[in-house]
This record gives sequence, structure tokens and C-alpha cells, in this order.
Amino acid sequence: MSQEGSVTRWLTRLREGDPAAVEPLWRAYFTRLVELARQRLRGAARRVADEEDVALSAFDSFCRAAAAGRFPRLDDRDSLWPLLVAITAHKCVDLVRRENRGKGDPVPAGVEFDDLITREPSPEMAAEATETLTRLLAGLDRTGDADLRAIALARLEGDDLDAIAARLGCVRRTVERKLALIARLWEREADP
Amino acid sequence: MSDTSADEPLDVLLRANALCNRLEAGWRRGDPPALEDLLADVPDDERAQILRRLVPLDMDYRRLAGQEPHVAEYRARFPELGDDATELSDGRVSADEFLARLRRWAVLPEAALADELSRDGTVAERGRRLVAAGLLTPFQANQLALPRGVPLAWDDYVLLDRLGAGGMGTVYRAWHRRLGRVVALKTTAGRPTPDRRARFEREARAAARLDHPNVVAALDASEANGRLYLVMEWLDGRDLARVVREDGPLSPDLAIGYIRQAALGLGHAHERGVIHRDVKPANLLLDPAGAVRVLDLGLARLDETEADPATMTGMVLGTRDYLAPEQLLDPSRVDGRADVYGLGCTLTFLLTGRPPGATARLAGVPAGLAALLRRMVAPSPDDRPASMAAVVAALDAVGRPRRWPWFAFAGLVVVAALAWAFWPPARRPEPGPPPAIEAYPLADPAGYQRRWAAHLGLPVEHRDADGMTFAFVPPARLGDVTLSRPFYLATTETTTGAFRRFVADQPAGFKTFAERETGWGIVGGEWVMRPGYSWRDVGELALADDHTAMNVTGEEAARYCRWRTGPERLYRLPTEAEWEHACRAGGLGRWCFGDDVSRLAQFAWYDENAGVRPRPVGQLRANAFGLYDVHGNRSEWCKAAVPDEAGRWPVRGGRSLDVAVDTSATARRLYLPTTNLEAGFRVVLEVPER
Repeated sequence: MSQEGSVTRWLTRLREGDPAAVEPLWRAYFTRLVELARQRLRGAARRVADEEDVALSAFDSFCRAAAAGRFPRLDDRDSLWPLLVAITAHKCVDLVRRENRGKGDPVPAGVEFDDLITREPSPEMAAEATETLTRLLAGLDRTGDADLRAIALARLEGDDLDAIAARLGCVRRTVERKLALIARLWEREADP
Repeated sequence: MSDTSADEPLDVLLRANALCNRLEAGWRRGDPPALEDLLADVPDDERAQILRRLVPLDMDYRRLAGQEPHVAEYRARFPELGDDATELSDGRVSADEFLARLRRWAVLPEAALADELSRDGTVAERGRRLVAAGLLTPFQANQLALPRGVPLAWDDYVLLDRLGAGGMGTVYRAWHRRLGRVVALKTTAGRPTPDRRARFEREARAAARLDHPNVVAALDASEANGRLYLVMEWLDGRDLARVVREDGPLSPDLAIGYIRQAALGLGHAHERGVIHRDVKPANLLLDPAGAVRVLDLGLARLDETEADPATMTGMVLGTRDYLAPEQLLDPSRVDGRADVYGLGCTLTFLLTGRPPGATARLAGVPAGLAALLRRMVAPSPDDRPASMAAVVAALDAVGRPRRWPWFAFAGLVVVAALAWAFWPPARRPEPGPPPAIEAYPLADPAGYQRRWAAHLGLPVEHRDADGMTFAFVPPARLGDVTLSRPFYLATTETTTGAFRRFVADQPAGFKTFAERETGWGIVGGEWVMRPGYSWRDVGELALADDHTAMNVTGEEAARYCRWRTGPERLYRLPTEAEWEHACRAGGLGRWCFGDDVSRLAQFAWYDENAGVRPRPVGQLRANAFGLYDVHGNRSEWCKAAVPDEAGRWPVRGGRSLDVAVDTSATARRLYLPTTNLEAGFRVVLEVPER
């Protein structure tokens, strides 16, 4: 897909660069992006099955937390949001490239995170975000381990690892193992 | 996500995950497979990778089963694990570090610490010993033992239990080591920055100005262990999200009553300039007295970093849940009507059990209430009730609440205003002034009991819907303590049969502590603690439904009471003063009948006439108030009005194996409410206020 770096590298940058400096931009951009995605899903949810309902619910949780001033933190190692967002951002960079190419502009030398988040997210990017989440969840189902989807959604909705373990009736270590597996599966989906 | 390294092939990780699932499923069935069998089909070059995941999981479950596994033993079984598998460890700090933490965090009373330092033992043995002695909670023992355990000491507060956590921080139950007060302590996520500190102080100060029976009070705010933290009043209750999840949607009457109380609390906050901004069922707590208390007032924005106007203005968000639309447009300019919106959404949830939204159906909701709901969640603030006072008035108009709720102000009750207006066996209260509250010793306890009951129009003995029998306990002065409120106390301890009905009505998967971990049973004529024993099985005793329910923690006893509690019936554990007054039934002797030990066998099962095996309840003589087994058979969980410094609850009364002197009216032990005991409990049914 992209020659420039994997999602893993993006994440490293996000986490190790200077989360405090990136955070305000991140919030402004991705809350708008997520909201656009949510509106799009809401339109679809009337027609389409449960698949999109769960994506909608995850986005709704995000929006609610964000509107109340609580953002998932970029430096929270156990959160799946930075990963999901980085994957989406990554796709969006590709999208920007393609758009520019279509206009006959020269391909920018490096469309990077900082460039991306200074623009208004487009409906295409919102579509990308919703499709990404839906696809990522479906990818988890293909492993045959139904807990993976449940854990991913619970984490996106901000549930604590111990709470998830209690709900699933397993030990915390299992939730940690499955979260790590989810992250690996998602990274692969993003950088095949 | 440190669990996988990027160079491990995904298919191996997936196979490891599947095998871990099989191991875990086996443990949960009580039939764990041998790791050797699980590995039977695994290619040699994957065995080490897969074992590195199976072994720690197996160790987790063996620890839960009370064993003490060691990595060395696995290395011997599986040489391919090698010595360099550094991520494998026994998962515990060294005993030295454990003791150093005990000292540094000052979790134990000094004498207990000195005692522990003088003993030998591994970390696991020490942890188990201290938990069994009621000196540590299981949570504390874990944090002391884990390499990355949470510090237990936060200035003067000591953490007791973790209650929950989200992206914004973590809430703990804690106690203040000098004041002995149990509190809720909330740590914020993320390191404090100057901006965060400033906002934190501002919000905490606003919250501290609030003082209302329907608001959970903020008590303290500070910084320790690299985190900002807040201290709030501790309430042992369920939030309304959980209430609906566990009990199903509420009746309109009940829902109106709860929302009305929340509106009173929020109205108080609004008058003081505090807007909640995040009203939702999870932020409304139903406390043990049945009052609804608003949580997190003024704190909803604590975790928001200082807003940069440039980024904030572009943030246009919408949500179908509990946030008012205007809140999303400009969070800094909302007023109390945003909370009206959130409260309307919450009411919808209480009635339907579903999050509010286009799909919420309001079938069965009275038309007037449905119309009010629609106004509360109107998109434009101008179309909503303008204030919480308006909400309360509108709720009263649709609900005609009956004096809701009689127990919200339990501490302020004037005895003369008590009555039993709505209970079926109600009689006409006697006209005239109430009898005087007499001081111990009571000259004619049974007569005094009858006079008070008659004055209030209440029966001396009451049988409730579950067949539990209660005796009326009149007010009295006992020493320095004045018990100004009468109450009903169950004539016997809660029976195994009654407890079975409670367990059967819990959500699927509910297990008591003893069922999950380990419980007390009689083996070879002695009480021992082992996995497998619980309220269902106490070993060598043919357990009948009329035996006391045993193997119950204090918290489970309290949960039983909450389960019995309905809109007009408040069940709870007795306070110590209530228990002792009821036990003595007017006398100041060693036992309810006086000091003559030769009479004890008429009233109590103790070591002379019983021994290790408890007997069914209610077989011997009752005391003057009509209460059975107050001295022997099983001791009983009570709840201190003010918990002791370690947050422990009193256990009163003697046991069948106790010698006579230990069954007296003053017999008393203290345990953390998370401790599983072979004791039972007896419940109070409150006399409502009219």
C-alpha cells in the first residue's frame, strides 16, 4: 500500500514524539472525522444490519467522551483508539495522495500526519473511517474467537481491563493477550 | 501491548491464543487439561513461543485455586522453555520488597506489622495469611505482591479496593487512616500539568461548595504518586445503570421517584453555579438508604485539558446518548438545561432499559409522563423545563408521588411522625403523645415494646412477603446511645433457604466469594477453609433450608438486603447499637436473661449443648423482644455506623462452638466486609416515616 512507513511507525511517532504537542490537533481533527463518520453510519444504520450498529456505538462512545472533555490518551498503551485512528489516518494520507494525483498536482513529497490534520476532513475520509472499523471488526471475527470483537469494542468504549475480564469471566492476562492479538491483527490489516 | 513482539508470526500467535482458550475453558469447568496434552500437536519450533503464553496463564489459575506455582517446576517439565525466557517469572515481588512496601505504605496497624515482620513466609503465604486475618483486602495483597502494583498510600488515604476505571481515571474504595472514614478516591489519568492542576483546583473547589442529601459530597482533592486525585463521600450502593441492568426497567412510579431526587440534587448544584454536564444513569447512585445521589458533580470536565479556543470552536460533535445538542456546539456556554436534557434521557433509560434514541419505545408509559419526557429532551433548550424546580413540579404533577422516599432523610426523623400507613397489617395509631423513650434497664421490655407498637399502629410481630418474621424493636437509651427510631429485626438469622431464593434471582453467573474462591466447611469435626465449601455446602453437616446461611461476606449480606429492598421496604444490616439493644431486650446482664449461666442452654446453642455443628434456627427460647439465637449458634454480620480505621465491620453474637462467656451480649469481632465467614446475618426492616 504505502511506501512511507507502517502504522507501527506512526504510532511510535504519536506516542513517543510529544503527545502533549500533538494532542490538541489530534482532538480537533479526529473528533470531527469521527463525527462525520458517525453521521454517515447513522444514515446507513437504518438500512444495514447490526454490523454497522456496533461501529456506530463505538463512535458514539468516542463522541460522548470527547464532548465531555474526556479523550482517549495517546500515551495509553492499552487503548485501541490511537491504533484505530492511526490506521484511519494512514488511509487518509493515501486518499489525499490520490486526490492530488487526480487533480494533476505533483504527488507531494511527504503527506504526513501534521499536514493531514491541518485540513478539514472530507466525507471520503469519514467513509474510510467507518469502513475501516467495520472491516477491522470483521477481521477479528474471522479468527473464530468471538471474544476478540467483544474486547475490541469494550476497549474502544473505554472499559477497564479488569472490568472486561470480569464480564468475560476470564483472567486479566487473557484480556491483555487478546488485546495484543487485536493490535497485531489490525496492524496487518493496515499494512498488508 | 507488550505481550507480543512484532517478529512473532501471526499464525503462531493465533494458535497460542486458541490453546490458551482451551486451557482457560478447562480451568473454568474445573477440569484443566495438562499442558503436555495441549502441546501434543504443536510443531517443535513453536513449542517455546506457545509455552511462554500457556505457562503464565496456568500459573494464574493455579494461584486462584490456592496453589503456589513456581516457574522452576515448569522449566523442569519443559526444557524448551530455556533459562532466557525473561518474561516468565513467578509474577511476584520478593518477600523483602513485599515487607518494604508494607512498611512504606503503612497499610497495617503497627502491632500487626511488627508481628508480620517477625514471621517467615513467601509473598503468597504472607498475602494469604494477612487476608485470612482480615488485615488486608485481596486487592491490597495483590498490589503489594505485583511488580507494578498500584501504590496503596495516597497521603493519609489507604486504598482498599478498585471499583472501576475508564479512560479518565480509576475509582477506589479507600479509608482515611486518621479519621477512620471510608471514602471513594478517584485518580485522574495522565500526569499533572500546570493547566490541569489549575482546572482541577477550580472544579474541586466548586464541587466542595455543594451540600445536599441528593448529592455525593466531595471531601478532598490533592496530588500524590504523580497523579491528581479527588476524594468523595463513600456510598455502598448501585448506580442506576446497574440497577436497570440487574433488575430490568423500572416502573413509572419508581423511575419518577428516582429522577425527582436527582433533580433536587442537580437543582441545588445549579443554584451554586455548578452544571453537571454528564448526567447519565451511571452517575446517579442509589445509596443503601434508598436515596438517589448525584455523583461527579462539577467534575465532568476535570480531565479536559485547558481548552485552546482555536481547536475548540471547530469541534462540532453530536451524540444520541445523554449529551444535549447545545453542549456539542459550545461546551463552555451550556446552562442547567443541558442537565435537564441528560436527566430526560436518563428517565427514558430507566423506563425502557435502553439507551435513549430514535428506537426507544415508551410503551406502557403514562401519556403525561411521555409528554414531559419529550419536553425534557427537546433539541432546543428553550423548549425544555427551564429549571430543575420546574422538572420537580412537572414530575409531581404526573406522578403524584407518595411522599417519596420516606427514607431519604433517615437521620432527621422525628419519632412522633412515624407510622405504618400503607402496610397491610396496619392498625389505627393510638391518639396522644408517644411513650417516653426509656433508658436501660427497661422495667417491662415486652410491655414497652407493645406500647410503642400500639402507639404507631404497628404489629409487634410482622411476617413479610418472603415469609421472614420480624419483631418490633422500640426506641431506647442504652448507655450513651439513644436509638430514637424503632425498627423491625428478623427474629432469626437469614436462612439458607432464604439465601437460596436470593442467589436464584441474581444475574446469570453470580457466585458468592466462597463459591468463587474458598469457603468454610466442617471436616473431621473442625471448621476448615477450602475451595468447594460455600453457602450450599459446609462439609459434615446435613445442611437444611432452616440452617443459618453461612459462608457469606459482609458485602454479600448487604447485597442480600439491597435485593430485598423495594420502593417502600428498606432492608439493611443492623448497626451494632441496634443489634445489641435488640439482643439485650431491656437487660444489662451478660445475656438477655441475666447473668445466670445455668439458663444459657435454654436460649443458646454453645459448646455445652452444641459444639462445632450449628443447629437450625429458632429452636430454643426467644428473648423478651421475640428474637431467637442472639447468643449462640452463628455470629452475625452488622454494619458500623462509622467504620473502624481499617474499614472493618462488626460481627456480633456467639457461635455454637464458643464457651459461654464468648456468647454474651457484648461478644464482638471485626472483619473486613470482603471477608468470607462461617457467620450468618440477620436483617433490619426499617419502619418508614410518614
